Amino acid sequence: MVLLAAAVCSKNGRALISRQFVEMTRSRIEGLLAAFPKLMNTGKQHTFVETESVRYVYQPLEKMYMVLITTKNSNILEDLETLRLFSRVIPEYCRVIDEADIQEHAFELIFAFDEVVALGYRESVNLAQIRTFTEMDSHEEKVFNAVRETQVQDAKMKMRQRAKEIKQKQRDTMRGGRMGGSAMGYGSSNASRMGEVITQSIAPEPTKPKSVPSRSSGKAMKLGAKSKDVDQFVDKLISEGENVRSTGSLKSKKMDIAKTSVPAALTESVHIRIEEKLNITAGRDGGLQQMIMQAMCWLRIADDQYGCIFIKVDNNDDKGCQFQTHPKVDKKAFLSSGIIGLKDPDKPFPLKQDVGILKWGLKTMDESLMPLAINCWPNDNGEGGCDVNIEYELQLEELELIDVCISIPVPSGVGAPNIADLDGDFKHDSRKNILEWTLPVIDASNNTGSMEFSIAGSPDDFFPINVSFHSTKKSFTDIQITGVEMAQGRSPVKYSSESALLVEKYEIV
Amino acid sequence: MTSAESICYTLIYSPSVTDSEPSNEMQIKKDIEHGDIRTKTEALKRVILMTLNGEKLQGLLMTIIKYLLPSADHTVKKLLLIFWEIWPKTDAQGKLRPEMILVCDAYRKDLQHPNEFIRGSTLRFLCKLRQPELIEPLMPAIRSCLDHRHSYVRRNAVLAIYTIYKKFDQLIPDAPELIHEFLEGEKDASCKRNAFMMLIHADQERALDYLSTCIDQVNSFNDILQLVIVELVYKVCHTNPGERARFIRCIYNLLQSSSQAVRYEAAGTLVTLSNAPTAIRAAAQCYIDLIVKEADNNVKLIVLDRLIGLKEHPQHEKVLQELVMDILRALASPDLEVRRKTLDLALDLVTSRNVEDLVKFLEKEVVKSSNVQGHDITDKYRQMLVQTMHSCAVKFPDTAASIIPVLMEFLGDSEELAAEDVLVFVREAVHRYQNHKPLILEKLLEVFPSIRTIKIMRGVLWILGEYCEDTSLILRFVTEIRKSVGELPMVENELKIAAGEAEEAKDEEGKGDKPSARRVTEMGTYVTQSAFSVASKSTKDKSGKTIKRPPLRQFFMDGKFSLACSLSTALTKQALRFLDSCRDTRKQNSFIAQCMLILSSVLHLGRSGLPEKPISDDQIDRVGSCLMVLSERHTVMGDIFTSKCRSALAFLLETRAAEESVQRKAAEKNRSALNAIQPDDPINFVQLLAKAEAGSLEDQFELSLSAAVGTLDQKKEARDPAASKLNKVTQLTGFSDPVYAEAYVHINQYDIVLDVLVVNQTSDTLQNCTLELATLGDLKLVEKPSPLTLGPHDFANIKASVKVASTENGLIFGNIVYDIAGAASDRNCVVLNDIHIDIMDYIQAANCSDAEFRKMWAEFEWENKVAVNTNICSLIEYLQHILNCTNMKCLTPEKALGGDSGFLAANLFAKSIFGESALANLSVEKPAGKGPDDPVSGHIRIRAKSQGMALSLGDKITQTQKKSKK
Repeated sequence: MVLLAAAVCSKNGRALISRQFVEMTRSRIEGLLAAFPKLMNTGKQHTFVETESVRYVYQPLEKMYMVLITTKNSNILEDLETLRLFSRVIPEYCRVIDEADIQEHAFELIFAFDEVVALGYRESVNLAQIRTFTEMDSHEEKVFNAVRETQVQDAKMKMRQRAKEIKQKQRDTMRGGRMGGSAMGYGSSNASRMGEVITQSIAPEPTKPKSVPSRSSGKAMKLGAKSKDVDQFVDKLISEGENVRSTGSLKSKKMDIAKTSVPAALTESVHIRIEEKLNITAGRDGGLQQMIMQAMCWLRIADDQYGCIFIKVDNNDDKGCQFQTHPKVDKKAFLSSGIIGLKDPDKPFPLKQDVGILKWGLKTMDESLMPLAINCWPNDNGEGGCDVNIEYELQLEELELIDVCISIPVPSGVGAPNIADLDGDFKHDSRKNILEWTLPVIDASNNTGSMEFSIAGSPDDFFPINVSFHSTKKSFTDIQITGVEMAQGRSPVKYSSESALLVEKYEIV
Repeated sequence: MTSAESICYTLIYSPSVTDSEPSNEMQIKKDIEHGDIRTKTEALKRVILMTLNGEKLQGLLMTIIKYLLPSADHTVKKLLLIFWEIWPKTDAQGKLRPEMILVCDAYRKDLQHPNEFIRGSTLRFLCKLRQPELIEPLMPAIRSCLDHRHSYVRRNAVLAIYTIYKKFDQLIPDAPELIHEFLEGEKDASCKRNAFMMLIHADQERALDYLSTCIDQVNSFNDILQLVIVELVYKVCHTNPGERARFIRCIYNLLQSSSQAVRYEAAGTLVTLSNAPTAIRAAAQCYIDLIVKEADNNVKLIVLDRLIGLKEHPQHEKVLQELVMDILRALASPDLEVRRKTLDLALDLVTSRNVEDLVKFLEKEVVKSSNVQGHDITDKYRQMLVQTMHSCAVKFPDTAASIIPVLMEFLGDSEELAAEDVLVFVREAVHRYQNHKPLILEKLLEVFPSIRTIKIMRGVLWILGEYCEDTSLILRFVTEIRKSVGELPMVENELKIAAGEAEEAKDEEGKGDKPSARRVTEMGTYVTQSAFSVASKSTKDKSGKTIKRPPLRQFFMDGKFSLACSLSTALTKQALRFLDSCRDTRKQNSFIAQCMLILSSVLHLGRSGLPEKPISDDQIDRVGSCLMVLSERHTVMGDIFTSKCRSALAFLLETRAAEESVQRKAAEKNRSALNAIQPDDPINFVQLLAKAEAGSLEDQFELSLSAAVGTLDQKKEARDPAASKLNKVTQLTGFSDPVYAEAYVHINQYDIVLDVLVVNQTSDTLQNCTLELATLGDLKLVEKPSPLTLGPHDFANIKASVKVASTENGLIFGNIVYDIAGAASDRNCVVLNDIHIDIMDYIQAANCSDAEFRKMWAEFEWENKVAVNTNICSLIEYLQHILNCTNMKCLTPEKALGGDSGFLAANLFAKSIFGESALANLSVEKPAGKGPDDPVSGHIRIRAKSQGMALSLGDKITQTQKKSKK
């Protein structure tokens, strides 16, 4: 969508004002505007004209025409929107819209036009905003001026005072002979102070590079019916031989990269990464057979000035994990005050490589520690098929699980399952004979959910069920990095951290 | 560089400034130096206006820098921004003026101004600056604006960085990183959009990176941001088709955006992403939805154009064919243009599978529209509907059966437009579809009494006369005629009525009955009472009362005896057919007698003086000859009447069909030529193409932009610089003049650039050598060339541009004035040859329909009649010659021009690039009685809206119509 120019023309075809938004030569724009009145069609019910190279969209305004010149494949809907805005701008500045009035307010109009379009693209502004923009009434300027005024006043006061002092001194010297010392240079100090004020008022806010919360799956934002619509569309396209990569895969690829090397832009020179891996095997009749959690905390330092640091860790573990520090790390300090640092505070951490500094793990049979409990009830319905009810429950409500995918094996060759009731989304992969129940996010707001489907088969067909998810918001063990400090001087160091909870294996057998 | 070729952002029309004398420079200076803010502002405005109008106020520069630049007033600041935009920042050698450094410093301060709006508008101004030397010192300030608290400043800062990076990337090589970082931290939609736009153009990789972080939230974005995302997807997929698959989902999501503009854009992009039917369908459905939902006709028309464009692709066409019924929903719009486009599109797309539905829908529309009567637009619309159904029936003969009865209802319509088309259709149908013939005739006979317009009546009479072939039908036809003619003989009957009227008028006075009651008693002879009481024209007789007559009789009484001719032909044909089909001589005789009675009574009526106008001699001849044929029953005549007529029609239809099929084939050939890939076509590998070669792969957006800005033509021209240039050199002075000058006349679309070479042939130094130009016709000199000094035997190039506003033969004339250094003489002057501007450079062949031609012919005020005076002996050759030398297009089809008839008439049409139409009619003949070697004679009449056009085109023809002998 590119808008070349906005112009106001009189009915007899004279271009009164015109503002161009892209680079074009004077002869070209004059030619285009001169051609417009001849091309314009009266008596038709539409208000655009196309030539070989451009399109004119116009709107009559009393005795004038508001004309936009656009490229031929410019978006007409957008252009009309812009045109409407333009033609509402004009009466704001001209009371009677005639030639004389437009000429009189030509500059105001041009200023206003500038606010509507930037480089040929429409800005999303409304009339009121245009008003404020063109009035240029700035609060900051007023504040600035007021401050300056008081400063000037102060300076004057001081000046008077100093003048008095000087006079006094002079009188003293006169009286007391040469006392020496002059009081020059107050003016310059004053000026420098004023300069300081200016720089302060425009001092850039420190913009912290915000690491974008990386939502991982493409499915994360899709809701209900609509996503199904999209999926259907995509499926159809695929069936027609079109190659469609799902955004999910795109993202997961991104995630893979993120695991191995975080983009430099997102990390500070001190980067801490916590990774927890779950390995869960549960029985189909409930009960946890075994759950193993292994976690690792990695440190990466990119800048050698931050080699010697302490990391403060807030350990809220209530699950009874076994902690183990790196041999070179001072274990006592960690256990007593939650500080990770090298035993020898003068030795730096290795640079530019991922160093594991803390390891912990958990091996348990306690069902209540399972992040997500799955309950699957296949019922033989007596007609050679099964009605399967499956439900999940988020047991640790502080977690937020992303991209939950529950894969249920289904008998092969009996067609697609008949889904009766469903929270979230499902997908039947007939080649792998798997029914995938996917939920973009599970957190406290939807901590339980269920799916019901029926399919031919026997109750044993639906196991083992595989579950996968990950989480980046909160760690399973609830260990948090609270700060990083220099070993010497205890001054805080900027750092970045990320944590990930991954599923290595989660099986219901 | 002349001002006409320089980049221009502002145009302000200001007659007052140009008229005033330039001496007020001093006044302005005074105002700026000593005035208050108000007068300063006014003065600055004047300076801007004067600069825009080509005045050179170099003396004011320091005044402005000194007195206005430090001003704190907001308006002055903003006006100054415009001032610097238009003020030439370089001197004649293209070097930066030293004063500009001062300006630059002022802008550094403005970029740190506490007022966010001043910062913003200064940043916006920087987008237009083209001097890297000026921008360089500002870079740190621009960068810091990126972190300003106000989004207004930030978004303009992004734009400034974008344009600076585009023009001079060495000034800010890290712009993409900078903006990418900025984008990630940005919240404001407008800033985000600008930043994203910058990334799209500067660094697509980064744009993609950013997009992939937020691809799922796309739906929640602001519409302007969504638009640039669509643009990105389009661009990425264009340069790198392998990426397509990644974005289909995203685009599909955007297809459901709440903003119509986004949906439109997304649909357009989706089509380029995938050729799969589902994608095309989704896009087409989106388009249709837009057409139906958007109330604005502009949108409807343009989106329809997109659909039509979609149709061009054979694969897409199939998808669209399924959507025909949806497309038809656009007919709900009241605009004729939209409806016409929709119907055309639907007709193109319709297939045998859905033609039934289409016809049903059209029928419904017809019924709907006939409920709203008397409106000009609905009548035209109905005509369109009828035409569409007609074409349907031609394309799919099976539908004719259902279409015919519906259309026949129209014949009784009082509006001619639709009824005429129906008639044409019926004529074709009855000729082509033998199996529908009885149905058609039956219907025709049924509606016959209700026909109210003379044209239709004639047509129907012809068809019935031609195609009623069975004895029973013939008899029915004659009965209908008799009913319609009324009681015979007509004259006596009319006299009686008139007399009866008089009597009854007397009665009426006596009885004082209500006129309405009496009206019933007056009628008596006709059958189609109800139809008549509504519609037949009623004439007033002497006593002022209305008399109702049967239709044909009514026509005759109104003096429309042209009907008599058709009636006589039809009756004769019928009679002759009757002779063939019925062998009973008695019946034959009685039938013929009946026909003759009708005809003779019509003749009698025509001469009786009762009708408003008497029958004309031609018509008497015609009826008389028919009577003669009937009485003589000659076989030769019989043959003419019974079979020749029909074969004439058959021939007409055949040629028409042939023409259509030729056109269709040509169109198909074009299309297939476009799509087909010849075996020896080169294969383009995207990776191996140089940027410049990638013509076919060029981005549509860029392409249309450069076309619009006008750079495309220049590029093309650059390819063959010498070829055309040398043809257009005009010598302006003689070789022995002290100053020799020649000009190359370069004709752009709307302006003429004269590149004048001036050579000093003397051994003196010429000072103040000025090229003075003046124009005649609709030309305007844009700016005066500035004076220059020429050393001995030195030469210089002067450029002057002239603006052209309309098509007219223009003349540029002038002289060169100079002083000889050291000589005391007056200024010397060399008068230049005139430069003629040929209008043919502005005229292009164009096409228009016959109806449009006729309309314009009637409308245009200026006619120029040029007598043919040529040495060409062949008519066709003469026509060709005229076409060649005027760039006009012959509208008369070639078939009509063929034959060796000794005369020729053709319509020509052309358009100027300013959009003016020029019509011409060529009527020439070979003078009778002279040999084949005599030249053709006749007239050419040219019509145009403006006098200049008609005159100059006429001149052109007069000049060139003699063919130069080779």
